[in-house]
Amino acid sequence: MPDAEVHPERLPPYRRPGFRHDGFLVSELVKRDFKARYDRSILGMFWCVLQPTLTMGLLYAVFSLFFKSAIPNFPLYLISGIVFYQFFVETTTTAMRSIQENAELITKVKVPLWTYPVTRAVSSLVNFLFALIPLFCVVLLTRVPLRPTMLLLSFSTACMLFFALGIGLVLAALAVFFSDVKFLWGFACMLCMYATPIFYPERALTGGHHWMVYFNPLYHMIHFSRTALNGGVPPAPEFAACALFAAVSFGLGIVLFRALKNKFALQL
Amino acid sequence: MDTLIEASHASLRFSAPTDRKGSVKKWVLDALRGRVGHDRFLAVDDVSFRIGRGEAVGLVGRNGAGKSTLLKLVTGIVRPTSGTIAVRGQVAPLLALGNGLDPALTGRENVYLNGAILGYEKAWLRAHEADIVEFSELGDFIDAPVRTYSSGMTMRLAFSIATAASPEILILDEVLAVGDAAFQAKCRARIGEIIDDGATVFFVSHSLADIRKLCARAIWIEKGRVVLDGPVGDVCPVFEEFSKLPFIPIGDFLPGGRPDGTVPVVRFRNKRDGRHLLTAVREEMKNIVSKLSEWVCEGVVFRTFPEAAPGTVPLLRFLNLSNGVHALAVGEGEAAPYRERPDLWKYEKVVGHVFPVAAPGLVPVHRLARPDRPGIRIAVGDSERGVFLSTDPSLFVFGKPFYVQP
Repeated sequence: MPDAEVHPERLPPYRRPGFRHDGFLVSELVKRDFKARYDRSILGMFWCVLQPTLTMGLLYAVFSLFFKSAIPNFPLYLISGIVFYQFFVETTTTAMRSIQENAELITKVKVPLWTYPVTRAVSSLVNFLFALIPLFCVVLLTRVPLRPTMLLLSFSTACMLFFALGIGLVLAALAVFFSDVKFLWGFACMLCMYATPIFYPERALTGGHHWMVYFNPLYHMIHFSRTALNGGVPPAPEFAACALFAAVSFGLGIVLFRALKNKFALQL
Repeated sequence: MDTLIEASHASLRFSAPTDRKGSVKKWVLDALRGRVGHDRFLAVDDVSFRIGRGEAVGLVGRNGAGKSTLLKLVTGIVRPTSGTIAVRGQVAPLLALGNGLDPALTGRENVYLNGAILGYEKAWLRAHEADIVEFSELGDFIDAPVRTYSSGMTMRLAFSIATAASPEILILDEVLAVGDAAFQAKCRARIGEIIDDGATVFFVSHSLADIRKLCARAIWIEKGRVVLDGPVGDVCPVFEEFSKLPFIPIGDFLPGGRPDGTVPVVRFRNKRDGRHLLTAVREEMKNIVSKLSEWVCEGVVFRTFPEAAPGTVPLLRFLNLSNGVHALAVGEGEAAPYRERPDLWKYEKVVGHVFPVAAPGLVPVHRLARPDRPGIRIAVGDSERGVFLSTDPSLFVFGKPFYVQP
């Protein structure tokens, strides 16, 4: 940054148009998301870590009664599923609401509309990264050896981010026109939770139900992550499946969002 | 002069708010009935204008006339459904004061957040943070959350951020009512500075006094259309009179002065019920009233004096409450019978001042009534009286004539 040399009066006050120059806006909006979310809470940012830990603890207490014996290292199996599922739900749900929640601003100031859902996705990503802290605590506590394959988590995380953002863009655009989308999506998220092996063993769905898992993007991304966490390298088709789901969803999201965005300000 | 904002035949059509497709069910039902896309109206209707660099333009119009929508088109928040609006230059919209502020963040954090939303560079904001804080006069409060601010403090901060840079195009929507009187003066001074820096200003306000002070040109829009576009001194007085219209019969326009000292008395006909109304109005008002209200101008009947002059008496207008027709009385003597029946006749106003007796250069105005039909007809001069008489002389009853300048 050349701030030191340039005289303040000579600095250009306004950003140039184009998405490359809007990083500052997105980073300010993300900061706002966090500050506003933990405003007036005593534990503040600590909730980022505490929340997934508590969820995991609760689900573990309940489901270990049923599935503990069937799954080796059930705590790690459970928390890896929950953390990725929460990442998906948070990204899609908050992105979906982003346009309507910023209606006041959107109808008054011209700001690139994509920044609203993208901001929500980035916030969810930061939350997800905090949630990795309890996840790695479980890794250490259950004496799983740290292996370089764990770095492959960054691949499944990126796929999940783009996959969820794509869906979030579609939902955000549709929610402007139909409020029903918000309620339907709440139901769809619940459906995803039961259709994905998060707290029950993957084998429970093989056989007659295998196709359900096969076309479930969440399953592929969570399965990929679990393989990497347990020291394995997922086979090439698994890489391809994750990347394909992410690319298709993200592409679809961009196309639909761009097609509808000019009508947002009039609908809000 | 180079043009910064150019609207050419811009229109914006959208569905009425009552017709929003709020749910899939409603949308499907509407689609089945073949009603999707109907119930639409033009919020901005074929608007064309050019605004050059450094011009300050005031936008006037009543509530719901389409001012805000037009500003949204200029800022690029919505696009016209037909026609174009071309804007060259950095637009700073001051129509969102306080909207980009987050109550949970401190004032200082909001400088960056709101600054980013308004399109500032990070480096520039860092260099000017101190100036912004100083202008806002918030002192130590700048590091307290905005939710603890009073509304005046919030607006002060928002104004300071929004006007920190001198943009090429400044859009002001009712933003001069910020904070206390001292801060308002400071705001006006700052806006004056921005204008002196060569900014083009687009200003919406209900305060015509502010518009007269800041702008040289005014555009009056009504029902999404441009009614008048010209120097502030021409547009504002006419708009001011018109804006008193909706609740009061149109006779309440202030008569404007004419070189010869007279004002026209114009006959209007109501489009809905055919009633006639005689009233004194400004010359330029006739067409505007015809265009925008249900009263159609039928022409100037005669000219009268706006104020009492030697030898003149007031011409008083009364409204018949039972059938809505008007009657004119010359002087208080003639008005007495109407005054005695306040249950039937309501006194409205002095339409003008006329001569009760013939004098050189004046012609008589004859009042004619048909007993079978309510309302009083006016004939200027004896030749016009002849026209009425030629239809059927036995039908008409004559009142006493009065004398006016033709």
